[in-house]
Amino acid sequence: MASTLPLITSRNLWKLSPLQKPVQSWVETLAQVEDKKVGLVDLHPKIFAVSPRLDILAKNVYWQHQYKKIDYRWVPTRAEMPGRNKKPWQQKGLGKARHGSRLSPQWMHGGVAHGPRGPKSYFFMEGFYQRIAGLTTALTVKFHQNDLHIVDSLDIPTENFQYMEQLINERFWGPSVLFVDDTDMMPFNITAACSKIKGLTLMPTYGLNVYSMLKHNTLVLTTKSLDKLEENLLYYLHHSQFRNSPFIKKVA
Amino acid sequence: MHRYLIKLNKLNATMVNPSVLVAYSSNFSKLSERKPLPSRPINLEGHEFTSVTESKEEFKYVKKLLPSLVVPDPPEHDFYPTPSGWVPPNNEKCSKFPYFVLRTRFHNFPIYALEREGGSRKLVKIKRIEGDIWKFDEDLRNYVEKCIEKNEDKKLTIYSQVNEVQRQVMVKGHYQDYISKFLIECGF
Repeated sequence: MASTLPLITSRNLWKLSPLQKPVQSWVETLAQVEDKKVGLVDLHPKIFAVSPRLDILAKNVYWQHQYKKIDYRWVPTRAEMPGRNKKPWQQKGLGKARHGSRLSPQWMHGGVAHGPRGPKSYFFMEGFYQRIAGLTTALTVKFHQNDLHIVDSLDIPTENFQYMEQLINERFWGPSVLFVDDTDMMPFNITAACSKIKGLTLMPTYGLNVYSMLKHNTLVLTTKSLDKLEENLLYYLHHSQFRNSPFIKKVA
Repeated sequence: MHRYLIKLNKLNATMVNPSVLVAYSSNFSKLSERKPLPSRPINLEGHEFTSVTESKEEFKYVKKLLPSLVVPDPPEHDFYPTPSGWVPPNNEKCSKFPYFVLRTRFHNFPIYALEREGGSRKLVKIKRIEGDIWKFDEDLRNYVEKCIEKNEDKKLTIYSQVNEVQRQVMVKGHYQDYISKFLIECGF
């Protein structure tokens, strides 16, 4: 291991303005329990050093809550109540109040006026650039709070869950950790180890989102997934169309 | 007129060949046993296809016509400012300042002239300011005041509003020309 160190010292950053300086992060490894630095990587300042817009983070979290929410509450109106819609007593001559139906909303066991009606979808799409800004701010906040770690790969020597437990306790990565890799086929050892411990999540790069970044204590990116993430985000920060519809596919 | 149309439609409906209707209805009634819809037969032997040759080399001419997905870097011109007034960023000049303004992805200044309250409040918004935004605001105001004194023979105080979180400065009055001059002089 020692002969190949350091693995990485620098990285070519695409579309880097000469005015901005890249931010740097250690590359760590999961190959041993002790926290050993394997290299250094440059991170793009447009993604990892943006202004921490907490309002954008809140907007993204709100969107992720809302778009899958369905309100199932339903109450019947007076027309849908069971029973006869007969006039309870005559209009005049009894000294009683005038009533036309026992099902009207002011009656006991009557229908409900303006009640919640049926399954209602709260789906909406947050603006495209708001979503991009949400990802960049979440990554920035994680990085500057020292909760973002970059590792060379997700390979660990054993499938024993105690190894993973020791590693996380040793590095103070907290109870919940989000591991992000380039592919969705993860190495066997880490899947076996993470399945025994609560709070460890494995995720491909395309599944990375603001809510799970904030939910987990630490975010662990592999170098491959970091490359892919930066490439995709920078593409959308520099592409030539003005894009607001969410379902256009990238061609080349 | 409307009634007449309805009558015509009814006529059309009755004029369809009843045998075809029966065939279709039987198709839809048994979804599992659905037959392919009748199509025009193609005589492959008698048909003459146009000849096609595949060429991967000539695709570069097609590539020229395709729109570029990413905004390209600006080409090098013989002189600056260009006829449109565009100036490239000067890295030597701008390294002196404790602040800088990033360009947009279209290589322009992020300066936006706005109007509020039906055009009675004129504002200019400057975005993407990095570094010491308060110093930038002060320098900008001083520069614009000097420009107004020089060009318009007026003594004015410029008011501005700093948004530190969103990295923006709002300037009161439509002074976008002076502001862009200031950014060019700084070399951003």
